[in-house]
Amino acid sequence: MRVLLFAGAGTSVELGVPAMRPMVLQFRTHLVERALAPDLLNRMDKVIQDSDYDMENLIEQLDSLAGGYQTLEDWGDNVKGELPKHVSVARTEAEWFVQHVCERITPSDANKMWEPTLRHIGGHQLTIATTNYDRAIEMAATKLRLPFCDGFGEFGETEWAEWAGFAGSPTLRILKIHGSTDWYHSTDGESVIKLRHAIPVFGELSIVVDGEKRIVVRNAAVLPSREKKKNQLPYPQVGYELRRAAYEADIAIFVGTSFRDPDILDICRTCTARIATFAVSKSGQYPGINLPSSTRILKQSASCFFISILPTALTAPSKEEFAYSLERSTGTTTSILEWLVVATDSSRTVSDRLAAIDKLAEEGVSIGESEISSLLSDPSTAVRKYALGLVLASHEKDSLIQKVAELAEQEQGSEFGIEAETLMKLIEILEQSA
Amino acid sequence: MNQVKWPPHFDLDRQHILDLLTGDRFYSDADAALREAILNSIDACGRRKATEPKLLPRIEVSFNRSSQTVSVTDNGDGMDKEEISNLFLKIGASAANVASQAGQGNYKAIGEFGIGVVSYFLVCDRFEVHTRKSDKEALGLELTRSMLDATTPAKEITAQQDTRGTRLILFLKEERFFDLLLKRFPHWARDVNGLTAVIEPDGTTIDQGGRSDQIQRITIGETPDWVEECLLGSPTNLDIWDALDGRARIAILYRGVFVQSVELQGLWGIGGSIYVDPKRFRPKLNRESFIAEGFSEEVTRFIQSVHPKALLEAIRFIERSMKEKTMSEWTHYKWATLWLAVPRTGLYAEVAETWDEVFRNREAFRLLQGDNEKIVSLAELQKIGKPVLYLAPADLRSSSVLIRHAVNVLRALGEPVVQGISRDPGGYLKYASFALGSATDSLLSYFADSLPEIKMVGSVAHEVIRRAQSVEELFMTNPKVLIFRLGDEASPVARVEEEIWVNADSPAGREIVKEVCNRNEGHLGLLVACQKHSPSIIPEITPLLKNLDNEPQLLGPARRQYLKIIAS
Repeated sequence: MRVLLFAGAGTSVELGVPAMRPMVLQFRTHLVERALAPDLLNRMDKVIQDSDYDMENLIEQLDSLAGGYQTLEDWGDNVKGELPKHVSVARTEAEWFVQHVCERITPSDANKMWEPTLRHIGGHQLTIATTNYDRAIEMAATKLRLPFCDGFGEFGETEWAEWAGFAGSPTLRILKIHGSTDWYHSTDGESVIKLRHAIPVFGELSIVVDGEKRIVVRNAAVLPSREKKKNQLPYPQVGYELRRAAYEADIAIFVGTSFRDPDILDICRTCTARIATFAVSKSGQYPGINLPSSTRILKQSASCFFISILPTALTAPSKEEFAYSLERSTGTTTSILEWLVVATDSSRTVSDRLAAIDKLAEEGVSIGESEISSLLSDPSTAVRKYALGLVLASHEKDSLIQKVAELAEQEQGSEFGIEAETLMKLIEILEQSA
Repeated sequence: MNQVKWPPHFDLDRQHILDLLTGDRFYSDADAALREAILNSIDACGRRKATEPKLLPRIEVSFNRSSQTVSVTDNGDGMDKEEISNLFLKIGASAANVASQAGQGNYKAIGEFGIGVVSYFLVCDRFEVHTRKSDKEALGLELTRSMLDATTPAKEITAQQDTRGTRLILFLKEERFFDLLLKRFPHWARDVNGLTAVIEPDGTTIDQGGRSDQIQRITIGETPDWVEECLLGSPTNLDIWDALDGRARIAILYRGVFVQSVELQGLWGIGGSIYVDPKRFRPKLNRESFIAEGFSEEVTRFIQSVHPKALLEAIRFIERSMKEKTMSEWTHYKWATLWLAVPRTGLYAEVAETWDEVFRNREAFRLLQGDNEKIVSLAELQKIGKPVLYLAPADLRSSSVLIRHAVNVLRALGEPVVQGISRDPGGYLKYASFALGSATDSLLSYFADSLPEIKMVGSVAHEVIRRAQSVEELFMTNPKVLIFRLGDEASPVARVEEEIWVNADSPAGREIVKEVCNRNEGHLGLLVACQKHSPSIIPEITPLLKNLDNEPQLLGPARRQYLKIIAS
């Protein structure tokens, strides 16, 4: 089964990457630290307020200003004062800042968010398209040692990878429609590379490749309002692959996107006309967007969807059952990633962890075997006991139940052993009543 | 030969003595005058019969409303002047005797009953005595209240008695005394031999009060010498049985005249009358009772000796009534009360055995088993088919929590729990002495051989409770909190020794389990839950919760889900 999964900005918000609006406030604070000209900051404040705190709009404004200053210079008129320089700095800061916040995502959080889904790809073909710059998906796939194709070749022994395009039918394809924090364009625009370790670039970066060759690169991410960058390598190919995936997919899912990007909305419409298409968001609403009526809307948080719902659906034997599994899913709109992070973080207090596990259990969140097994092996007996409460909701409960039965036998009479026995009794009762 | 004073007058030292004798403190009721008149006639007939054994005594009492007189005429011995004169002397002597004892309130018996004559002044200011003694002349005397001054003599009047005997005419001073004497005639005249009574002028006869013919007479062998005759037995009147209060009322009669009623507490199912021989027991001066101390003990002993026979007859009557269903409206309380009141020791052994045989099919026990509760008989208990019968107190509400819970456990286990029905709370036989407090006492004492093994719930409560299987443990650290199923009528929470039991069959118990799980605050959560859903248990369980560990026993999500399902 071929699954097209679009991950919008909402999926990264739960990982700590602020959405455009909160990001602009953080950026404003960052600029204060940078001691930019007060006049510019004041003007920026006005812009920020007028644009209703939208980073995209701010960047657009800065781009326009910078472009205007350049044009005036080209026409032989120099704008007096420091403002042009400050605008230029602000533009560069903005580029850097976006990279920077995207790189805040920890591998641990990225794994928790994406691992459950990626682990259950099984025999399916999953294409994840995203406009997010962060590398959460790649980090999770790498940790799972799950091969994926993002258009770049292997790193090999080097620190960079060159663009290779999308060949074959890999199990996992990642289409970064607006680039990534680890993608860099050469300043001549002729090439694009991916670095093994992403570096938020302020303006340009000179790197040495092949031991001697030095290239100057800029980050290749397509920031908002810089649409023409999309004509640059590799974006046309990425865009093509997205369209292809849309035409070939058996199921399409759009998670955490507002559909304000017309391309994405168009993809959605294309898919809905042909296949079961789902739109997942916390609010379940898309104001001002005319979604096709047959697009099935799921009101859930991204983390709940990726951690609990999609992994379960991926175990379905057919696309009909896959779709059915999604349709009848009852996920929560609360971000469960935080609960999962707290539950599995041994540096947290036991009471915090127990509270987090309780919340997961109350919501009936399906947690994978890996996470639950990790909790079942926790040094804290209380955590282990509580972890048993996650077993029945897990989409991998059969193997977990077997494991619990063994543990109950081994630790008979102990506090954990008694709790494990209780779980076995509960299972029996539920089976009888079913 | 003594000088006969004629016409006679009362010879008294002090005038006020007669006032004493005729005052209302001496005779309880004015109608005692009628009794005295009849007794005097009985005595007179008795004296004549002593010399003429074939005499048929005849006493006629006539109530004449138009003349407002009551006359009592007998064919007794009659009196001559000497006898009349002696009578007046005796009255004086007796009065003196009475007076000397008056201050102590202790009236001695007298040899003759003549003192009763002065009682006539209770109802009249004037009366006439017409008498003829054998071959002597007939005498007529009018006696008036003025004679009480001790100097005024009686007045001779034309004698109206043609035949041997005496006629007394009381000229009642008020019509109310006429009605009183008429009404009370049957009370006093119960079974006087040869007595008839009529109402003039129409000649309507009035029956005597009668002997206790509503009893099944028992045959009594030897009687004490003070008993002339007795008619004793068990009542055959259902109204009497319906109203038994545990006291026997025996009428003491003197020659058929009611003298006294003896009430004997603790003896029931026996009634009737005893004719007392006055030679053996002398009545009090006013003839309204006999010497209290000695006589009442003798009477009591006598009745006690015949009581077992009466009860034997009684059960036969009851058996018949049950068959005829004339007593079928009785509640099981009444039946049980009757049975419990049957004496069982000594002379009553046969009685008890006979009553038991009849009552074994009467419902006298409450059987609690499972969810059922029904009233059963001894016979049904004997066929119960279980190895053990558990006896519980009749009133569980006032029993200890331990016993109540043991009962609930037993019921839940399907074991038979028997409560004996106790006495009728309505007061039936309230004065009776009860051989048994409740029907279950009988099981232990008398029927144990015919029943399964009997165990008192109180003595095995701990063991029973131990036997109860808890459904699940709510908290395993001390104090242990266990979930049980004790029936929906059992209390939601109970302290059993050092454990706390939560009853999942009770709605409040289920809420407590749910709340404990939702709060997940360990024993403190239990306390809060009990405060909400079963506050009465708080004082009992608080001492157990005083020394809790700092760390509450947290229940994992799986266990909480499990417990909530178990308790639902």
